Amino acid sequence: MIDFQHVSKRYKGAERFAVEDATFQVKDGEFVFLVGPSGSGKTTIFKLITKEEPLTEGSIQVNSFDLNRLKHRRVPFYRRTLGVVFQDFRLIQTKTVAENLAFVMKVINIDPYFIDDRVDEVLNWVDMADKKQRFPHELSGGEQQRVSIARALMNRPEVILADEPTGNLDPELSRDTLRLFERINRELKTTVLVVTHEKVLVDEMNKRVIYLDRGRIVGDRQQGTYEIAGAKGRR
Amino acid sequence: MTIYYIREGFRGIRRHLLMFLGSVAVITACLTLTGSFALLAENLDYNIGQLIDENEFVAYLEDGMDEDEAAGMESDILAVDNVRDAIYISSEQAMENYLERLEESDRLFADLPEDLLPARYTVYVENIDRLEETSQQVAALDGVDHVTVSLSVAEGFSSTRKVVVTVAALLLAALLAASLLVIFNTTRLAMQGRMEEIAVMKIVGATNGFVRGPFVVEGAVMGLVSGGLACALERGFYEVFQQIIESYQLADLFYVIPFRQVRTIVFAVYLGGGLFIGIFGSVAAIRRLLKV
Repeated sequence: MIDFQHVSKRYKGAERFAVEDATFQVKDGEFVFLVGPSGSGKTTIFKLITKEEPLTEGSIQVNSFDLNRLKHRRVPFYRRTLGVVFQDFRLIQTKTVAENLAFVMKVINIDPYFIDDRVDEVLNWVDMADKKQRFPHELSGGEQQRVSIARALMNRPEVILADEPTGNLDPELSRDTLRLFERINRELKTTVLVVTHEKVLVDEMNKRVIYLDRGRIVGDRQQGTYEIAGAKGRR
Repeated sequence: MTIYYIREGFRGIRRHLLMFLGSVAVITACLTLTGSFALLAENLDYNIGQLIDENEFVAYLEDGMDEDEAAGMESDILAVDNVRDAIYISSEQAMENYLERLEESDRLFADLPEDLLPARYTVYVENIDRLEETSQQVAALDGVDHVTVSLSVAEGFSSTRKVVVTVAALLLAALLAASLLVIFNTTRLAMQGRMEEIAVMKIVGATNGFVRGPFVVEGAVMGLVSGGLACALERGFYEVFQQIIESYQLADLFYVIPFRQVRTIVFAVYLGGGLFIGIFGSVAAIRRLLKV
């Protein structure tokens, strides 16, 4: 579960808040889109959840971790409960697909025997088993994003966070990617939070949408569309 | 986990070989430069030290003292604080030495009595800075008539040594600081290319220790290779230096400490210094990247 209570974030030297008084909850097993124009604070919320940035005011609770009180040395253990997907995939270019996936488990010192099994299992799940020994640069953008999603699944995370995961993909691959997230949410019961600009796809998916504008939450609708009634945000 | 760090460390070296070699070249150059200067300063200090060690004062004994009494004064003089050695010179020996130093001595001074010059002790001191105080203590002993001491020469050597040591220490510190800065920046530059890899490690939950591990191995290898190369270079440079001193026939003026005498310390300092710099440089360079 993700629980934001009156969260504000102001970057050093900035005049205005990047996120101001944000309060929302994402329950276990939910699928939520976080939408809004550029500079609305979507990525800041993403970074607050991944603990890449500290918050200025309020409180955040994720997967029973109180992020206000989380000590720096405990952050890696918290991050292991998250699966993170980026627009630019962030795969390690010098490692093969299998090594990129295995690396996530090596980090937490899992027995190599289990790692190999889990790599095969996850690659089958995202339909990439035949690309196991390829390097990232030998894959298409869509395939790289699938590997990146597979990596996010490796440690059976409670929450998957995706920051503009379709930003570098064509519409068809974007649709496939969001369908994959939906499948993960439905079959694995994993909570999914997707930060996106994809108006058409958000409308198609018919999921909960939280709308941000100038750092404030201006709309939050179950089974919403990109254009949330009542939201007076810029486009 | 250690095997993983070692394997990844060597993989990192292979993948970023040019950067690794660049860092090794910089560390080797800095170590050799700093080490050469330190060795030069050590040689200079040693030579000045030798000159100071030769410094002495003369204690003249009272007239009428017989040989046994005069020779017996040695223990009294040696008992004075800061006296390192005291060598007895009888009246006859003093005259002999004196005549040897004069031209045409046979003709002009042949008839002088043998015991014309007083018996004396040449007294060597431990600490040149306390020469005056020590000579006064010796002068106050029963049986000592007076002492002669060249304080200006002693003070000159002492001051020169202090200046040399201070200047050498300052230059060495500046050279060391500059070397560390260059090494740190080179290593940091080398690590910039790894930013993305480190960011991925951090976001998937790697602890700082886990991220650091392979970099420590890389840094250690980098440091040891640099230290080894610097040792070999230093040995070569030292031999060339020795040959230059000998070829210009300066060996009597400037004694070069044989390399075998400093070999162990040079190897230990270079390898230890290289290891420290390599590990410290790598770890410090990625410190900022670990804050994510």
